[in-house]
Order: sequence, then C-alpha cells, then structure tokens
Amino acid sequence: MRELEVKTLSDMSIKIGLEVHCQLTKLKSKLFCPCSSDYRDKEPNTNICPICMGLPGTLPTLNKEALFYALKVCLALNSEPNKRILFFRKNYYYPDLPKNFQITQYDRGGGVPFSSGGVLKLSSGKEIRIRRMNLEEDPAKIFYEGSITSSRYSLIDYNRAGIALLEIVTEPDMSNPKEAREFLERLKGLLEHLEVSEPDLEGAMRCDANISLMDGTRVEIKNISSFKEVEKALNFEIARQKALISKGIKVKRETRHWDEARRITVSLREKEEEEDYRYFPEPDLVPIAINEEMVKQIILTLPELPEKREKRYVKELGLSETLAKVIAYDRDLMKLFEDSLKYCNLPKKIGSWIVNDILAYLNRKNLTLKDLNLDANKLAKLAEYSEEYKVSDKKLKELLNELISGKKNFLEVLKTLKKEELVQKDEVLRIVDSVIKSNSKALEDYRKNKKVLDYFMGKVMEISKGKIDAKEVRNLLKEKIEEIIK
Amino acid sequence: MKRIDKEIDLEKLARLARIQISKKDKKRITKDILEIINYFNKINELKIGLSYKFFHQSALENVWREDIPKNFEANAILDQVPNKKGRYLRSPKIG
Ligand SMILES: [Zn+2]
Repeated sequence: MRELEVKTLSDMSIKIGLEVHCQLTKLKSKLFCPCSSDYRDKEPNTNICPICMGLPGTLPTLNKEALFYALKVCLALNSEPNKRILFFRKNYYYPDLPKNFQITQYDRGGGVPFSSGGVLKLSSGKEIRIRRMNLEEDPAKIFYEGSITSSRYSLIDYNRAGIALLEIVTEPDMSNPKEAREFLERLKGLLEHLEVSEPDLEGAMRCDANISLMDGTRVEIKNISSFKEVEKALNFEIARQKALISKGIKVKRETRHWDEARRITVSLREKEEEEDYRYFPEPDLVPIAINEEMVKQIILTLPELPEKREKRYVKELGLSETLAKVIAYDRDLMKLFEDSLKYCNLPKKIGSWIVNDILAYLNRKNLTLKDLNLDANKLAKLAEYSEEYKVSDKKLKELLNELISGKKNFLEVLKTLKKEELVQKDEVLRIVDSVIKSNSKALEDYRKNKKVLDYFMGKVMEISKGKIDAKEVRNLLKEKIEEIIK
Repeated sequence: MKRIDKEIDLEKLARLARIQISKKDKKRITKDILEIINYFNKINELKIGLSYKFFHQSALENVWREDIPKNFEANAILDQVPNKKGRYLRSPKIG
C-alpha cells in the first residue's frame, strides 16, 4: 500500500490486451452451411437456410476453406495450431442466436483453442504476444423499432448469423492506447495481405479491450467499432481509473460499454458469468485432425510477409528503412510499388515518390489510393522518362504532384517533361558556349593536355549550380572543343 | 453416489433461459432438474477424464465441405415465422 502512495499517477504501468473478432470475408459461404456470405446490402433474411436458422433435424458441416484461412493466419502469426480441433457450444438465450447457442471453441472442459501462442511485432520492434485464436460463427444483427431505449421489440436479420469469425486474443502486452491502435493496424494489414479478409468492410473487424492500471483490477471495454475509437475508449478509461485511484477509490472489476456518441465508457449490467454459458462439446461436428501435410500445403500458399518484405526492400532494393517500413506494411502501397517495378527498375525513385509524394498527398486530402487516377504503369513510365530526359528534381516533383492531384493528365505531364528537357538542353548549350568563349587560354592548354577538360567541366557545373547532368555536359564540352581546335 | 437433494437455484436457471416459472411449476421442475443432475452425477463416477474420445461416438474425423455458396429458398423459412416486420423477424426486446 505504501508503494502505491509513493508512485505518481503518471508512473503507473498500464496493461492493455485486445480481443479482436474478424470476419473471414473472402469466404464465399458461411462457416457451417452453404448460405452465401455476401450479406452486405442484401435484403434482410435472404441468406438463410434451415442450418443457420437452427431448425430441428439439421446438421452443420465445416467449411474447409475457413479452416485453411484460419491456419494461414496462425502460421503468419507464428501461432501453433492444435493437432485436434474441436468445436463447443456456448449457450445463451438471445435472439441473435437462432439455436440458442453459438458454435465456437473452448480452451477448458477438455477443449482446446484453435491455436495457441504467436506474436505480432510493432514498428518499435516490441512484440505483442498472441494468447490464442478461435474459429466461431458470427451472431445475427439486431435492429430496434425506434430507439434502443424506447423500443419494445428487436428486429432480427439472420444474414450475418453463421458467418466465419476468427477470434484473436492477445496477452496484455500493450502499454498505451497508441500501441493498441498500431497492433490493430498491423493485424488488419496482415489479414488483408493473406487475402482472408477485408477488414475495412462495415463490421468486418470488431474489437474488445481489457485494461488494468498498476493495482491490477481488470476492466473490459466492449462495443468498440473502429481503430480510432479503440484509442479514444482506452484514453477515457485510463483517465477514469486514474481519477478513481487518486481519490483512493478502488477500481471495480467490471465490463463497460463504449458509448461512441457520448465519448465515455458506461458500466454494463452484469451479464452471464463464464460458467453460465454451460459450454459443452458440439456433438454435431466431428473433430478435425490437423496434420503436417495440411500445414505444409498452407505454408506453400503463404505470401511474403511484411516483416520479411521490409528487410528485402532495404537489402536488395536499397530503400531506406523508413521507406521500406511504410511500404511493406501497407498492402495498397506495396502493390503499387511492386507493380511499378514490373515496368521499370527504379525502386528508390518509385519508393520515394510513393511515400513522400503520393502518401503525403493522400494523408493531406484524407483519400485512399483508389481515389487517384494513378497506376503502376504510369508511375513507372514517368520514372523512366524522367531518367531519360534528365529534368531537374524540382520540376519533376512538380509534375508528379500535378499528376497525383489530377491537375494534369498523364499525356500532358509527358509533354511538359519533353518541353522541359528542350528548355534545359538549350540552357546547357548556352552555358557551354559561353564558358568556351571566355576561356581561350584554357582552350590552348587543352591541345597539350586533355585533362583541362575538367577545368571546363567545373566552370559549367558552377554556373548551372549542378542542376544538369555531368555526363551530358562532359560529352557536349568535348564535342564542341574538339570541333573548335580542329 | 453423492446425491444432491438441496434446493437448486431455479430462479437463476430461469433467468438464463429467459423464461418465467410459476410458483405452481417451481416444485415440479425443481424435482425434475434434481433428478437430471443426480443422473449426471452417476455418470461422473466413471473415471474417464475429459478426453475428446468420449465426445463423439463415431470414429469419423475431418468431415467438411467445399466453400461453394448455395442459397436456400429463404421465403420458405420466412413464411413459417409468426412474428415479422417486413423481412425482419420480430422478438420481444431483451435488455
Ligand atoms: Zn445457412
């Protein structure tokens, strides 16, 4: 108790853990029945069948692809899949479950989670440990007639019921809300990258958080809808708990709900306890044995993972660590980068443009890459032409930005590039001529010693302030001087 | 066998199942549930541990299907629903 008093509030160690639910949106059908998983923008209750509606006499059958997708995520996170996958029933009576139970997995009562262990690295190098992953079915969506408080009825749409959901639970390894947000962003990038999910789709990636300050009482926050909200909810919760502790009030162990509109967390009426869910093995689904062969097959389908890619960009393509990090972890930027390199071999130039010009523009305007009329082919061509035409960097950036912002189309940019080169060529010729004319003594020396060319070079570069290409100047000078002294 | 004869928390069970039990039924249901629990207690005397082998009767494993969507005639199900609003199912709100 004494120690607690001595420590200031800002010293308090914070422990944050996350429980992420992500739909495997790339699947075509639900987890245990063949209903289409494409439910967004669909009329309510169109993707339903006797299985996901829990009608008597029906049997669920596991979607094999869902199992493979989950294994992909496991292997990418270095999480160890269990040799024998079992499903359990989690019983609770609520209209979002037509069967009155959810088919999920359970790590007690003889059950095992889908996988155990694993890590995801943050940009600082800090490792966030994964505790476990589970495969389970999504419940239905509930709406209310009028407002949630005044409504007497729930309106239920079972299109979402039975969609494959991957639950990823971390250890409480994050020490501030920023780290929690970065974890989610990296996880999202990975899931996109593995092509198992599109977490940007509405409701595709949801998150609960748990947080404890130094006195160790764990508070859970539910109902967080986006990454930005995670940071806000956690910041609010830290402030609330600190205020309590500073007044000498003990933090209560409870589940709170993030109220997005009011920007506060509110205490939830106590829900079921763990034992109230009466978990038991799902008798309708037989065990799944994961064998070496399966794992090997999946390893072969794994794309290059961001961490490895980042290293390759630095080592093999010569990108700076900063550029490599930004591009390797963002799927869209990565794709633009890699595709551009199919058309040209200028990784440093393309990499710098993507981060310093394109990404900067997107952030400024709050846009995504899809909003731009820009593709890998154009970017590569521009990079190649710019090498060929030897236009100053400043002018080039100007043109690139006009292309990004749509002020000029690609053809206009190329024309300007050509024109710009002509102007520059004229300029070089003019400088070379004037340098030769005003250095007649050096011209005489050149007859005896060809090294005097360097003297002329120096003069030209000095006047042009190094803005023009040295090799070109050298060729031009040599040509002109030889012609004069002939 | 250890028999359980004491009162069980029927109120809690009813709350979890979201049902109301009348005073009249309470006695009868309590008796039934006690019988069920005692039956399971008898099974629990077997020292088999919590092994997956006892979860399923068949030796089957790896039964799955390919990821091919096939839509059922949803209206056939909706037609059976007694309480609807438009295409939504309607149930009392549970707080
Ligand atoms: Zn279905």
